[in-house]
Amino acid sequence: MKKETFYRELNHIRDSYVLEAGKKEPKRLIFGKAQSFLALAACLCILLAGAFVMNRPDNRPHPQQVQIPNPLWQVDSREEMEGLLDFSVPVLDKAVEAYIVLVDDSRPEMARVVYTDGTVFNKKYGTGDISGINGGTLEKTETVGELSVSFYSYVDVDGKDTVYALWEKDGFTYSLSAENTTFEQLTYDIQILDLKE
Amino acid sequence: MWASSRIFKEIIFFIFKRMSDFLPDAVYIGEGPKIRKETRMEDDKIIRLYWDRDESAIGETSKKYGAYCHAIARNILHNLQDSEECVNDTYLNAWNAMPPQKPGILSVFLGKITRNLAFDRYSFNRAEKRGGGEINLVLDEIAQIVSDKEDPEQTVYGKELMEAVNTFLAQLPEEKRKMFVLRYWYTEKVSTIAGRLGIPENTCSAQLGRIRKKLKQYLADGGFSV
Repeated sequence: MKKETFYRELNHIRDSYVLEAGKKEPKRLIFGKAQSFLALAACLCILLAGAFVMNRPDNRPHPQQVQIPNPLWQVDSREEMEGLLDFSVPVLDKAVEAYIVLVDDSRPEMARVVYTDGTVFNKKYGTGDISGINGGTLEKTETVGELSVSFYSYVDVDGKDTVYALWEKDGFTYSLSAENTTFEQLTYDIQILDLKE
Repeated sequence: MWASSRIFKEIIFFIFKRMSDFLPDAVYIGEGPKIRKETRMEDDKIIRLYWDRDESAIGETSKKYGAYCHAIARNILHNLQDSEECVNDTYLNAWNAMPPQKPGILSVFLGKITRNLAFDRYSFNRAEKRGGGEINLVLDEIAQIVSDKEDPEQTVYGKELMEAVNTFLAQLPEEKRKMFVLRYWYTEKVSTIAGRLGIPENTCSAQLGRIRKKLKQYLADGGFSV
């Protein structure tokens, strides 16, 4: 059959089909070919919105990185340490590992003497605990000479036993700590330090 | 730029389509419906005018179905002047046909006349080597269903053949049936059909191909050597 004949014959398909195709409403959106462009536009909108949200200014502070000066100044001698601080620093008669000045807000505030056997002595203007040990147990408070000394013990996570003592005198606060030693040795050292003040 | 103009066009089309819902017996065909504000007469009243040999029947027909017939003719001829003449000939044919005929669905009755006339005009133009457009593509697609060779038996089962086509169409899902009719009866562009049905053009084209293949097989199974 010739295609033209078949096309002409198609004029005899049911009226209801012709009416149905010509009249009825489409089921879905009529955007058709433009649908993909709409989808693309929607994606772009979402991306733009995301970029806007990510870049919008917020109220949180965003400080630039700054260099903090080292708060621990190690010096070569007791004299140098005392030169930086405006008070004297007594030193025990045993080998010293380091003389350290603790600085707060660029001002030398505290003297620290670290001995080779692990003993650490701190001295500073003011009051309070300057041992740097947190969580020690108060074992006793004794009078050593004219000083009222509190003795503490502390076991760190590695199992090392540390004992330390805190006292105050003439507007200064002191601490002395040592590893694997006794309160008697600590008392002796405190007496020496007091004598050298 | 193309996409935005296309979207704008679709939106306007959509609004027009919604507005058309408020008009009685709105028929959507072609690139977009024509909105007419005049009051349109009921079909049976128009048919009565024909039967009463009242010449106002032509005016009422033109008012109500002019755009519909134009769209059918334009799809086949792609020529405004030829389409205009076809539609005028449709009114004349309708005038000559009624009475004695009393169409059940006036729009389809007029559409069939227009389609026939437009195809006659297309055949004439093709012999004169002018015109053509979507109809050529539609005919090429139909050539995938039929042999496109002269068949002396065709007159024998012309009516039976269409019965078979109607039965085949009845078995199709509504959307596919509409797709087939829009393409091979209304001679609509694939892009227009896809837009109407809300599917991508490629999908529409592929589905039409499958329908043609099924129809060819269906007719062959029915003993029609088309």
